[in-house]
Amino acid sequence: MLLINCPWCGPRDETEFHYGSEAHIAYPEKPEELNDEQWAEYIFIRNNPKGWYAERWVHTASCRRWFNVWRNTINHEFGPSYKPFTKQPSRPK
Amino acid sequence: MVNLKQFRESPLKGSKLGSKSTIYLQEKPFATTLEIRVKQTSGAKGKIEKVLKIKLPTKVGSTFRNKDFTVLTLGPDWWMIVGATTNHEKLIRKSTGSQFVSIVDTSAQRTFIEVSGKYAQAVLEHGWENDLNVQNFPGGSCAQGILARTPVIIYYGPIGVYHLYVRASFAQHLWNFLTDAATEYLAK
Ligand SMILES: [Zn+2]
Repeated sequence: MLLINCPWCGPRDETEFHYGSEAHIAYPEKPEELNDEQWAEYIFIRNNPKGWYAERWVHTASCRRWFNVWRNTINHEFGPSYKPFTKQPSRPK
Repeated sequence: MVNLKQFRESPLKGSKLGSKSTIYLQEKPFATTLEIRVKQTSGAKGKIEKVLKIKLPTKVGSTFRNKDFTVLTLGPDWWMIVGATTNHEKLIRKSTGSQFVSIVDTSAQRTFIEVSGKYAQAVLEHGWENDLNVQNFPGGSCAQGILARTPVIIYYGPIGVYHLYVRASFAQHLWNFLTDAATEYLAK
């Protein structure tokens, strides 16, 4: 089981969270001007790196808050978590 | 047809088990709960504090208690007031006016179970996965999480007494889990 650090509640079990995929994907500024391909790209296409990945999690069972966290996709090691709209900590080594 | 009268009382009405020298479980009759959602930075927060004559705690998991009510901090913008009266609700509504704040009376939503006795912590640890040791969960802490696959709020008020708040529809399930977990300690 993963131990995930909620920026508000501290370290909690993975079962309390839900996954939200890649972080820092901004909503299109003018969605009405996107064609189907661009819209599909915004909705579905995500990076799939081998290594550190900044992603979103939501603390469903406790504070109900979304936040961002660095996770290593190779060994599931967690890096720093951070609140939305705050400065992203640098990629862990 | 569904008999609505059965929902007018706590699903665990009058339930109790064990003794204080080992493990003691008891259903507590309905207390009123008021849930408040307001941004920490909002001016409405100050108005609520003025009406209640308290400061809302800022750290998630911290609480405040006076002789009238207990305030649990469930999220960065989310407080639950246990024991608040309809008068409190009215006053808060009046003071915040049209400001962006949510005040909901959730009194009938949850059932309250008190867990106390020498083995209270041990019984809860059969299913509660967060740390209950006093250095990480001292008196006056609260936490929301999963116990026996059920969403539960635990408030650790007076030392040695845990208050569990569970949705009424899951109360019997949680009670069954707790009585099962308590069995081995009852004979000690
Ligand atoms: Zn949280």
